Amino acid sequence: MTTQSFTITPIQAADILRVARERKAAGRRFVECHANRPYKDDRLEVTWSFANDDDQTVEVCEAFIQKDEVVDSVSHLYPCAFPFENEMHDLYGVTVRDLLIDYQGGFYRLHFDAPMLARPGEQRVPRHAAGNAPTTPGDQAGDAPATD
Amino acid sequence: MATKTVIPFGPQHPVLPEPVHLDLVLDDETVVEAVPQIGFIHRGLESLVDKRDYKRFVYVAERICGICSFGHSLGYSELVESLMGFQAPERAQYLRAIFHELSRIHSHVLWLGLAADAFGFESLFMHSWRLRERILDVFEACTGGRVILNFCEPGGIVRDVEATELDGIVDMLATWRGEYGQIANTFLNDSSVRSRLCGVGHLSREEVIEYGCVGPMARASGYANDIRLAGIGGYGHLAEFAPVTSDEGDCYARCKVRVEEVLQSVDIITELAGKIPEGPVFEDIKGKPADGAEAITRVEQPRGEAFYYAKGNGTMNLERFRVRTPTTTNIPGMAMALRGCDLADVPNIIMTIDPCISCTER
Repeated sequence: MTTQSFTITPIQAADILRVARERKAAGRRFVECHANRPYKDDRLEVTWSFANDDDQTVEVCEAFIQKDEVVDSVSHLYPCAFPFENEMHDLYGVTVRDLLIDYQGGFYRLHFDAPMLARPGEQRVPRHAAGNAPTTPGDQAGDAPATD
Repeated sequence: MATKTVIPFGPQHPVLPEPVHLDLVLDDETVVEAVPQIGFIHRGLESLVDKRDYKRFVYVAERICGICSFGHSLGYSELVESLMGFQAPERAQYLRAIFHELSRIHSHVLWLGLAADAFGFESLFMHSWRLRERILDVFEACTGGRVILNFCEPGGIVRDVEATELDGIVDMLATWRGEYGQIANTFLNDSSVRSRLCGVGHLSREEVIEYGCVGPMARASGYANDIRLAGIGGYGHLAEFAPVTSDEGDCYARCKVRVEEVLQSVDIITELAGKIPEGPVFEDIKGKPADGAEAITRVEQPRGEAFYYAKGNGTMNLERFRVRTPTTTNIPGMAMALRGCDLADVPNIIMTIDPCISCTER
Protein backbone atom coordinates (compact mmCIF):
# COMPACT_ATOMS: atom_id res chain seq x y z
CA MET A 1 0.00 0.00 0.00
CA THR A 2 1.23 3.46 -0.80
CA THR A 3 1.34 6.04 1.96
CA GLN A 4 0.12 9.60 2.13
CA SER A 5 3.11 11.75 2.73
CA PHE A 6 2.92 14.60 5.21
CA THR A 7 5.45 16.88 6.80
CA ILE A 8 5.31 18.82 10.04
CA THR A 9 6.74 22.33 9.99
CA PRO A 10 7.15 24.18 13.31
CA ILE A 11 6.43 27.88 12.85
CA GLN A 12 5.89 30.97 15.00
CA ALA A 13 2.21 31.94 15.21
CA ALA A 14 3.17 35.52 14.35
CA ASP A 15 4.46 34.26 11.00
CA ILE A 16 1.29 32.54 9.87
CA LEU A 17 0.28 35.25 7.40
CA ARG A 18 3.69 35.08 5.72
CA VAL A 19 3.56 31.28 5.71
CA ALA A 20 0.05 31.27 4.27
CA ARG A 21 1.00 33.78 1.59
CA GLU A 22 3.93 31.61 0.55
CA ARG A 23 1.76 28.48 0.44
CA LYS A 24 -0.89 30.31 -1.53
CA ALA A 25 1.71 31.55 -4.03
CA ALA A 26 2.98 27.99 -4.36
CA GLY A 27 -0.54 26.79 -5.23
CA ARG A 28 -1.19 24.92 -1.98
CA ARG A 29 -4.78 24.25 -0.96
CA PHE A 30 -5.87 25.11 2.58
CA VAL A 31 -7.13 21.97 4.29
CA GLU A 32 -8.00 23.04 7.82
CA CYS A 33 -6.74 24.63 11.01
CA HIS A 34 -7.42 23.66 14.58
CA ALA A 35 -6.27 24.23 18.15
CA ASN A 36 -5.19 21.74 20.76
CA ARG A 37 -4.53 21.92 24.48
CA PRO A 38 -1.63 19.58 25.24
CA TYR A 39 -1.88 17.66 28.50
CA LYS A 40 1.61 18.61 29.60
CA ASP A 41 1.65 22.23 28.54
CA ASP A 42 -0.35 25.30 29.52
CA ARG A 43 0.10 26.79 26.07
CA LEU A 44 -2.16 26.07 23.13
CA GLU A 45 -1.02 24.36 19.98
CA VAL A 46 -2.43 25.76 16.74
CA THR A 47 -2.12 23.83 13.50
CA TRP A 48 -2.66 24.84 9.88
CA SER A 49 -2.62 22.23 7.10
CA PHE A 50 -1.94 22.83 3.42
CA ALA A 51 -2.26 20.25 0.66
CA ASN A 52 -0.29 19.95 -2.54
CA ASP A 53 -2.76 18.32 -4.92
CA ASP A 54 -0.08 17.74 -7.56
CA ASP A 55 1.89 15.21 -5.52
CA GLN A 56 -0.79 14.52 -2.86
CA THR A 57 1.31 15.65 0.08
CA VAL A 58 0.17 17.61 3.10
CA GLU A 59 2.18 20.09 5.14
CA VAL A 60 1.11 20.57 8.76
CA CYS A 61 2.37 23.87 10.22
CA GLU A 62 2.35 23.93 14.01
CA ALA A 63 2.80 26.78 16.46
CA PHE A 64 2.49 27.13 20.22
CA ILE A 65 0.74 30.21 21.57
CA GLN A 66 -0.10 31.62 24.98
CA LYS A 67 -3.79 31.57 25.87
CA ASP A 68 -4.16 35.33 25.49
CA GLU A 69 -2.11 35.54 22.28
CA VAL A 70 -3.83 36.85 19.16
CA VAL A 71 -3.50 34.90 15.90
CA ASP A 72 -3.90 36.43 12.45
CA SER A 73 -6.68 35.09 10.28
CA VAL A 74 -5.73 33.52 6.96
CA SER A 75 -9.31 33.76 5.69
CA HIS A 76 -8.51 36.73 3.42
CA LEU A 77 -6.03 34.48 1.63
CA TYR A 78 -8.06 31.29 1.95
CA PRO A 79 -11.79 32.15 2.31
CA CYS A 80 -12.61 28.57 3.31
CA ALA A 81 -10.65 29.11 6.55
CA PHE A 82 -13.32 31.18 8.29
CA PRO A 83 -15.35 28.26 9.71
CA PHE A 84 -12.23 26.72 11.25
CA GLU A 85 -11.03 29.99 12.73
CA ASN A 86 -14.41 30.73 14.26
CA GLU A 87 -14.42 27.19 15.64
CA MET A 88 -10.97 27.68 17.18
CA HIS A 89 -12.27 30.78 18.90
CA ASP A 90 -15.47 29.19 20.18
CA LEU A 91 -14.02 25.86 21.35
CA TYR A 92 -10.56 26.91 22.55
CA GLY A 93 -10.87 30.65 23.12
CA VAL A 94 -8.21 31.51 20.54
CA THR A 95 -8.58 35.13 19.49
CA VAL A 96 -8.32 35.39 15.71
CA ARG A 97 -7.74 38.82 14.18
CA ASP A 98 -9.33 40.07 10.92
CA LEU A 99 -11.69 37.20 10.27
CA LEU A 100 -13.47 37.28 6.91
CA ILE A 101 -16.74 36.41 8.65
CA ASP A 102 -16.63 36.89 12.40
CA TYR A 103 -19.44 35.20 14.34
CA GLN A 104 -18.12 36.79 17.56
CA GLY A 105 -18.51 33.68 19.66
CA GLY A 106 -21.81 32.59 18.12
CA PHE A 107 -20.54 30.08 15.59
CA TYR A 108 -21.56 27.21 17.85
CA ARG A 109 -24.38 27.40 20.38
CA LEU A 110 -22.32 26.46 23.41
CA HIS A 111 -23.23 26.16 27.05
CA PHE A 112 -19.72 27.10 28.23
CA ASP A 113 -17.04 29.44 26.94
CA ALA A 114 -14.13 27.57 25.34
CA PRO A 115 -15.34 24.13 26.46
CA MET A 116 -12.34 22.28 25.02
CA LEU A 117 -10.04 24.09 27.44
CA ALA A 118 -11.67 22.43 30.45
CA ARG A 119 -9.69 19.79 32.30
CA PRO A 120 -11.63 16.64 33.31
CA GLY A 121 -13.70 17.35 36.44
CA GLU A 122 -13.25 21.11 36.22
CA GLN A 123 -16.34 23.08 37.34
CA ARG A 124 -17.23 25.89 34.96
CA VAL A 125 -19.80 28.67 34.91
CA PRO A 126 -22.28 28.48 32.02
CA ARG A 127 -22.08 31.26 29.48
CA HIS A 128 -25.46 32.77 30.19
CA ALA A 129 -24.79 32.79 33.96
CA ALA A 130 -21.47 34.53 33.39
CA GLY A 131 -23.15 37.07 31.10
CA ASN A 132 -21.02 35.99 28.14
CA ALA A 133 -23.75 34.56 25.93
CA PRO A 134 -23.40 36.13 22.48
CA THR A 135 -26.35 37.40 20.52
CA THR A 136 -26.30 34.53 18.11
CA PRO A 137 -26.40 35.59 14.47
CA GLY A 138 -29.27 34.06 12.57
CA ASP A 139 -31.68 34.02 15.49
CA GLN A 140 -33.49 36.97 14.03
CA ALA A 141 -34.17 37.93 10.46
CA GLY A 142 -31.49 40.23 9.16
CA ASP A 143 -29.19 39.62 12.11
CA ALA A 144 -26.20 38.62 10.04
CA PRO A 145 -22.68 38.13 11.43
CA ALA A 146 -20.11 40.78 10.74
CA THR A 147 -18.55 40.33 7.32
CA ASP A 148 -15.39 42.01 6.24
CA MET B 1 -34.92 51.77 -7.05
CA ALA B 2 -35.03 48.31 -5.44
CA THR B 3 -34.18 47.99 -1.78
CA LYS B 4 -32.15 45.17 -0.34
CA THR B 5 -33.98 42.60 1.71
CA VAL B 6 -32.55 40.02 4.08
CA ILE B 7 -34.39 36.71 4.08
CA PRO B 8 -33.56 34.11 6.72
CA PHE B 9 -33.30 30.67 5.09
CA GLY B 10 -33.39 27.78 7.55
CA PRO B 11 -32.37 26.30 9.90
CA GLN B 12 -35.67 24.49 9.39
CA HIS B 13 -36.64 24.38 5.73
CA PRO B 14 -38.37 21.73 3.61
CA VAL B 15 -35.32 21.29 1.39
CA LEU B 16 -32.84 20.94 4.24
CA PRO B 17 -32.36 17.47 5.71
CA GLU B 18 -30.23 19.02 8.47
CA PRO B 19 -30.19 22.45 10.07
CA VAL B 20 -28.15 25.16 8.42
CA HIS B 21 -29.08 28.82 8.32
CA LEU B 22 -28.40 31.35 5.60
CA ASP B 23 -28.99 35.06 5.64
CA LEU B 24 -29.87 35.77 2.02
CA VAL B 25 -29.41 39.41 1.04
CA LEU B 26 -31.69 40.04 -1.93
CA ASP B 27 -31.91 42.76 -4.52
CA ASP B 28 -35.43 42.17 -5.84
CA GLU B 29 -35.39 38.40 -6.54
CA THR B 30 -31.61 38.17 -6.96
CA VAL B 31 -29.31 36.98 -4.18
CA VAL B 32 -26.43 39.42 -3.78
CA GLU B 33 -24.90 37.85 -0.67
CA ALA B 34 -25.40 34.72 1.40
CA VAL B 35 -23.98 34.45 4.92
CA PRO B 36 -23.99 30.88 6.25
CA GLN B 37 -24.54 29.96 9.88
CA ILE B 38 -24.18 26.52 11.41
CA GLY B 39 -23.87 25.47 15.05
CA PHE B 40 -27.29 24.04 15.77
CA ILE B 41 -26.21 20.44 16.34
CA HIS B 42 -22.63 20.63 17.58
CA ARG B 43 -21.96 17.55 19.72
CA GLY B 44 -18.30 17.87 20.68
CA LEU B 45 -17.45 14.34 19.50
CA GLU B 46 -13.78 15.19 19.05
CA SER B 47 -13.43 15.86 22.77
CA LEU B 48 -14.58 12.30 23.57
CA VAL B 49 -11.03 11.05 22.94
CA ASP B 50 -10.64 11.88 26.65
CA LYS B 51 -13.27 9.28 27.53
CA ARG B 52 -12.66 6.43 25.07
CA ASP B 53 -9.40 4.67 24.39
CA TYR B 54 -8.06 4.85 20.87
CA LYS B 55 -9.50 1.47 19.85
CA ARG B 56 -13.00 2.02 21.21
CA PHE B 57 -13.18 5.55 19.84
CA VAL B 58 -13.92 4.09 16.40
CA TYR B 59 -17.52 3.64 17.57
CA VAL B 60 -17.72 7.37 18.24
CA ALA B 61 -16.00 8.23 14.96
CA GLU B 62 -18.48 6.11 13.03
CA ARG B 63 -21.34 8.06 14.56
CA ILE B 64 -20.09 11.40 13.27
CA CYS B 65 -22.49 10.91 10.39
CA GLY B 66 -25.26 8.49 9.53
CA ILE B 67 -24.68 8.62 5.78
CA CYS B 68 -20.91 8.29 5.53
CA SER B 69 -20.57 6.31 8.75
CA PHE B 70 -18.45 3.63 7.14
CA GLY B 71 -16.16 6.26 5.66
CA HIS B 72 -15.54 7.78 9.08
CA SER B 73 -14.74 4.41 10.63
CA LEU B 74 -12.41 3.78 7.68
CA GLY B 75 -10.73 7.16 8.06
CA TYR B 76 -10.29 6.77 11.81
CA SER B 77 -9.03 3.19 11.50
CA GLU B 78 -6.43 4.10 8.89
CA LEU B 79 -5.44 7.12 10.97
CA VAL B 80 -4.78 4.95 14.02
CA GLU B 81 -2.97 2.36 11.92
CA SER B 82 -0.77 5.11 10.50
CA LEU B 83 -0.15 6.46 14.02
CA MET B 84 0.87 2.99 15.23
CA GLY B 85 2.89 2.05 12.14
CA PHE B 86 0.51 -0.79 11.39
CA GLN B 87 -0.84 -2.05 8.09
CA ALA B 88 -4.18 -3.80 7.82
CA PRO B 89 -4.25 -7.24 6.12
CA GLU B 90 -4.61 -7.05 2.35
CA ARG B 91 -8.01 -8.76 2.26
CA ALA B 92 -9.28 -6.21 4.77
CA GLN B 93 -8.08 -3.40 2.51
CA TYR B 94 -10.10 -4.85 -0.37
CA LEU B 95 -13.20 -5.28 1.79
CA ARG B 96 -12.83 -1.75 3.11
CA ALA B 97 -12.67 -0.43 -0.45
CA ILE B 98 -15.72 -2.47 -1.49
CA PHE B 99 -17.82 -1.27 1.44
CA HIS B 100 -16.63 2.28 1.05
CA GLU B 101 -17.80 2.21 -2.57
CA LEU B 102 -21.13 0.71 -1.50
CA SER B 103 -21.41 3.62 0.94
CA ARG B 104 -20.70 6.02 -1.88
CA ILE B 105 -23.49 4.46 -3.95
CA HIS B 106 -25.95 4.67 -1.08
CA SER B 107 -24.95 8.27 -0.30
CA HIS B 108 -25.13 9.46 -3.90
CA VAL B 109 -28.47 7.75 -4.54
CA LEU B 110 -29.83 9.22 -1.33
CA TRP B 111 -28.65 12.62 -2.53
CA LEU B 112 -30.19 12.10 -5.97
CA GLY B 113 -33.52 11.46 -4.25
CA LEU B 114 -33.20 14.57 -2.11
CA ALA B 115 -32.22 16.64 -5.14
CA ALA B 116 -35.22 15.32 -7.08
CA ASP B 117 -37.44 16.27 -4.16
CA ALA B 118 -35.86 19.75 -4.08
CA PHE B 119 -36.65 20.44 -7.71
CA GLY B 120 -40.13 18.99 -7.40
CA PHE B 121 -39.81 15.58 -9.06
CA GLU B 122 -41.31 13.41 -6.36
CA SER B 123 -41.58 10.12 -8.24
CA LEU B 124 -37.88 10.34 -9.08
CA PHE B 125 -37.18 10.86 -5.39
CA MET B 126 -39.11 7.70 -4.53
CA HIS B 127 -37.41 5.58 -7.20
CA SER B 128 -34.00 6.79 -6.04
CA TRP B 129 -34.66 5.85 -2.45
CA ARG B 130 -36.16 2.52 -3.51
CA LEU B 131 -32.85 1.67 -5.15
CA ARG B 132 -30.94 2.90 -2.12
CA GLU B 133 -32.78 0.40 0.05
CA ARG B 134 -31.23 -2.43 -1.93
CA ILE B 135 -27.75 -1.21 -0.96
CA LEU B 136 -28.82 -0.97 2.67
CA ASP B 137 -30.06 -4.57 2.38
CA VAL B 138 -26.51 -5.59 1.41
CA PHE B 139 -25.14 -3.79 4.46
CA GLU B 140 -27.64 -5.54 6.68
CA ALA B 141 -26.90 -8.97 5.23
CA CYS B 142 -23.13 -8.59 5.58
CA THR B 143 -22.79 -6.58 8.78
CA GLY B 144 -26.11 -6.67 10.62
CA GLY B 145 -26.49 -2.89 10.41
CA ARG B 146 -28.10 -0.69 7.81
CA VAL B 147 -26.69 2.70 8.83
CA ILE B 148 -24.10 2.19 11.57
CA LEU B 149 -22.21 -0.88 10.44
CA ASN B 150 -19.52 -1.41 13.13
CA PHE B 151 -17.63 -3.25 10.42
CA CYS B 152 -14.29 -1.46 10.19
CA GLU B 153 -11.95 -1.12 13.16
CA PRO B 154 -8.27 -0.32 13.69
CA GLY B 155 -6.62 -3.58 12.65
CA GLY B 156 -8.92 -4.53 9.79
CA ILE B 157 -12.49 -5.70 9.35
CA VAL B 158 -14.39 -7.34 12.20
CA ARG B 159 -16.08 -10.01 10.06
CA ASP B 160 -14.98 -11.67 6.85
CA VAL B 161 -17.32 -11.65 3.86
CA GLU B 162 -17.58 -15.04 2.21
CA ALA B 163 -16.95 -15.50 -1.50
CA THR B 164 -20.60 -16.44 -2.03
CA GLU B 165 -21.69 -13.20 -0.36
CA LEU B 166 -19.34 -11.20 -2.59
CA ASP B 167 -20.71 -13.00 -5.66
CA GLY B 168 -24.20 -12.15 -4.46
CA ILE B 169 -23.26 -8.47 -4.16
CA VAL B 170 -21.80 -8.42 -7.68
CA ASP B 171 -24.88 -10.19 -9.12
CA MET B 172 -27.22 -7.82 -7.30
CA LEU B 173 -25.31 -4.79 -8.57
CA ALA B 174 -25.47 -6.10 -12.15
CA THR B 175 -29.27 -6.15 -11.93
CA TRP B 176 -29.36 -2.95 -9.92
CA ARG B 177 -27.30 -1.17 -12.57
CA GLY B 178 -30.04 -1.68 -15.16
CA GLU B 179 -32.69 -0.15 -12.91
CA TYR B 180 -30.36 2.64 -11.91
CA GLY B 181 -29.72 3.38 -15.59
CA GLN B 182 -33.37 4.32 -15.98
CA ILE B 183 -33.37 6.93 -13.22
CA ALA B 184 -29.88 8.11 -14.28
CA ASN B 185 -31.28 8.71 -17.75
CA THR B 186 -34.06 10.82 -16.26
CA PHE B 187 -31.64 12.86 -14.15
CA LEU B 188 -29.40 13.55 -17.12
CA ASN B 189 -31.88 13.97 -19.96
CA ASP B 190 -35.28 14.98 -18.65
CA SER B 191 -36.14 18.47 -19.85
CA SER B 192 -37.69 19.57 -16.54
CA VAL B 193 -34.58 18.49 -14.62
CA ARG B 194 -32.30 20.26 -17.07
CA SER B 195 -34.38 23.42 -16.94
CA ARG B 196 -33.97 23.59 -13.16
CA LEU B 197 -30.25 22.73 -13.03
CA CYS B 198 -28.46 23.83 -16.20
CA GLY B 199 -26.60 27.12 -15.84
CA VAL B 200 -27.62 27.51 -12.20
CA GLY B 201 -25.10 28.08 -9.38
CA HIS B 202 -22.05 28.21 -11.62
CA LEU B 203 -18.55 27.93 -10.15
CA SER B 204 -15.49 28.08 -12.38
CA ARG B 205 -12.41 25.89 -11.91
CA GLU B 206 -10.52 28.91 -10.55
CA GLU B 207 -13.30 29.62 -8.06
CA VAL B 208 -13.44 26.09 -6.66
CA ILE B 209 -9.67 26.21 -6.15
CA GLU B 210 -9.90 29.67 -4.58
CA TYR B 211 -12.67 28.61 -2.20
CA GLY B 212 -11.14 25.24 -1.36
CA CYS B 213 -13.99 23.10 -2.68
CA VAL B 214 -13.55 19.34 -2.67
CA GLY B 215 -15.25 16.23 -3.97
CA PRO B 216 -17.94 16.23 -6.66
CA MET B 217 -18.38 19.98 -6.20
CA ALA B 218 -14.77 20.57 -7.32
CA ARG B 219 -14.76 17.82 -9.94
CA ALA B 220 -17.93 19.24 -11.51
CA SER B 221 -15.92 22.39 -12.25
CA GLY B 222 -13.07 20.49 -13.85
CA TYR B 223 -10.78 20.14 -10.81
CA ALA B 224 -9.83 16.46 -11.01
CA ASN B 225 -8.82 15.82 -7.40
CA ASP B 226 -9.84 12.46 -5.96
CA ILE B 227 -8.19 11.22 -2.76
CA ARG B 228 -9.12 7.64 -3.63
CA LEU B 229 -6.08 7.73 -5.89
CA ALA B 230 -3.69 8.85 -3.13
CA GLY B 231 -2.19 6.47 -0.59
CA ILE B 232 -3.73 5.76 2.81
CA GLY B 233 -7.45 6.28 2.55
CA GLY B 234 -7.19 5.59 -1.16
CA TYR B 235 -7.23 2.47 -3.29
CA GLY B 236 -5.99 3.60 -6.65
CA HIS B 237 -3.40 0.82 -6.39
CA LEU B 238 -6.14 -1.80 -6.00
CA ALA B 239 -8.49 -0.82 -8.83
CA GLU B 240 -8.29 0.97 -12.17
CA PHE B 241 -10.26 4.18 -12.27
CA ALA B 242 -9.93 7.90 -12.92
CA PRO B 243 -11.77 10.87 -11.37
CA VAL B 244 -15.18 11.65 -12.89
CA THR B 245 -15.14 15.28 -13.94
CA SER B 246 -17.21 17.81 -15.82
CA ASP B 247 -16.37 21.29 -17.05
CA GLU B 248 -19.74 23.02 -16.81
CA GLY B 249 -19.50 23.88 -13.08
CA ASP B 250 -23.25 24.30 -12.60
CA CYS B 251 -25.87 22.37 -10.61
CA TYR B 252 -26.41 20.03 -13.55
CA ALA B 253 -22.70 19.19 -13.69
CA ARG B 254 -22.64 18.41 -9.96
CA CYS B 255 -25.62 16.11 -10.46
CA LYS B 256 -24.00 14.49 -13.50
CA VAL B 257 -20.73 13.81 -11.68
CA ARG B 258 -22.57 12.02 -8.86
CA VAL B 259 -24.73 10.05 -11.30
CA GLU B 260 -21.61 8.82 -13.10
CA GLU B 261 -19.69 8.15 -9.88
CA VAL B 262 -22.37 5.66 -8.89
CA LEU B 263 -21.70 3.67 -12.06
CA GLN B 264 -17.97 3.98 -11.46
CA SER B 265 -18.42 2.60 -7.94
CA VAL B 266 -20.27 -0.42 -9.32
CA ASP B 267 -17.33 -1.05 -11.68
CA ILE B 268 -14.80 -0.69 -8.84
CA ILE B 269 -16.71 -3.13 -6.62
CA THR B 270 -16.99 -5.65 -9.45
CA GLU B 271 -13.28 -5.39 -10.17
CA LEU B 272 -12.22 -5.69 -6.54
CA ALA B 273 -14.57 -8.60 -5.83
CA GLY B 274 -13.01 -10.46 -8.74
CA LYS B 275 -9.46 -10.25 -7.46
CA ILE B 276 -9.76 -10.05 -3.67
CA PRO B 277 -7.02 -12.18 -2.09
CA GLU B 278 -7.61 -14.83 0.56
CA GLY B 279 -6.22 -14.32 4.04
CA PRO B 280 -6.97 -12.88 7.46
CA VAL B 281 -9.09 -9.75 7.77
CA PHE B 282 -8.07 -8.58 11.22
CA GLU B 283 -4.92 -8.29 13.31
CA ASP B 284 -4.97 -6.81 16.77
CA ILE B 285 -2.96 -3.62 17.27
CA LYS B 286 -0.80 -3.81 20.37
CA GLY B 287 0.55 -0.93 22.43
CA LYS B 288 -0.20 2.73 22.89
CA PRO B 289 0.37 5.69 20.58
CA ALA B 290 3.75 7.23 21.42
CA ASP B 291 3.91 10.55 23.22
CA GLY B 292 3.98 13.28 20.58
CA ALA B 293 3.32 10.89 17.68
CA GLU B 294 1.22 12.52 14.97
CA ALA B 295 -0.54 11.15 11.92
CA ILE B 296 -2.90 12.35 9.25
CA THR B 297 -4.96 10.55 6.69
CA ARG B 298 -7.42 11.65 4.06
CA VAL B 299 -10.39 9.72 2.74
CA GLU B 300 -12.52 10.50 -0.29
CA GLN B 301 -15.94 10.48 1.28
CA PRO B 302 -19.01 10.70 -1.00
CA ARG B 303 -19.01 14.49 -0.48
CA GLY B 304 -15.28 14.91 -0.94
CA GLU B 305 -12.02 14.83 0.95
CA ALA B 306 -12.25 14.23 4.69
CA PHE B 307 -9.10 15.00 6.68
CA TYR B 308 -8.22 13.18 9.89
CA TYR B 309 -5.50 14.17 12.35
CA ALA B 310 -4.45 12.49 15.57
CA LYS B 311 -1.79 13.12 18.19
CA GLY B 312 -0.78 10.60 20.83
CA ASN B 313 0.44 11.28 24.35
CA GLY B 314 1.72 7.90 25.47
CA THR B 315 -1.60 6.78 26.95
CA MET B 316 -4.47 4.71 25.58
CA ASN B 317 -6.34 7.97 24.89
CA LEU B 318 -5.39 10.25 22.05
CA GLU B 319 -4.40 13.76 22.99
CA ARG B 320 -6.17 15.25 20.00
CA PHE B 321 -8.39 13.87 17.28
CA ARG B 322 -9.49 16.13 14.50
CA VAL B 323 -11.86 15.60 11.57
CA ARG B 324 -12.31 18.12 8.80
CA THR B 325 -15.28 17.03 6.77
CA PRO B 326 -15.92 17.99 3.12
CA THR B 327 -19.06 20.04 3.76
CA THR B 328 -17.14 22.42 6.05
CA THR B 329 -14.82 23.41 3.25
CA ASN B 330 -17.58 23.42 0.61
CA ILE B 331 -19.76 25.94 2.49
CA PRO B 332 -17.78 29.04 1.36
CA GLY B 333 -18.02 27.81 -2.24
CA MET B 334 -21.74 27.33 -1.81
CA ALA B 335 -22.07 30.91 -0.54
CA MET B 336 -20.25 32.08 -3.66
CA ALA B 337 -22.42 29.97 -5.96
CA LEU B 338 -25.50 31.58 -4.42
CA ARG B 339 -24.39 35.08 -5.37
CA GLY B 340 -26.33 36.28 -8.38
CA CYS B 341 -28.84 33.44 -8.42
CA ASP B 342 -32.61 33.75 -8.27
CA LEU B 343 -34.29 33.16 -4.93
CA ALA B 344 -36.14 30.16 -6.44
CA ASP B 345 -32.81 28.48 -7.27
CA VAL B 346 -31.39 28.70 -3.74
CA PRO B 347 -32.67 25.25 -2.65
CA ASN B 348 -31.16 23.58 -5.73
CA ILE B 349 -27.77 25.20 -5.23
CA ILE B 350 -27.69 24.25 -1.55
CA MET B 351 -28.66 20.69 -2.39
CA THR B 352 -26.00 20.30 -5.06
CA ILE B 353 -23.17 20.69 -2.54
CA ASP B 354 -24.78 17.71 -0.76
CA PRO B 355 -24.52 19.37 2.66
CA CYS B 356 -23.98 17.10 5.64
CA ILE B 357 -24.26 19.25 8.72
CA SER B 358 -23.84 16.40 11.22
CA CYS B 359 -20.40 15.78 9.72
CA THR B 360 -19.61 19.46 9.68
CA GLU B 361 -20.40 20.10 13.32
CA ARG B 362 -19.37 16.73 14.77
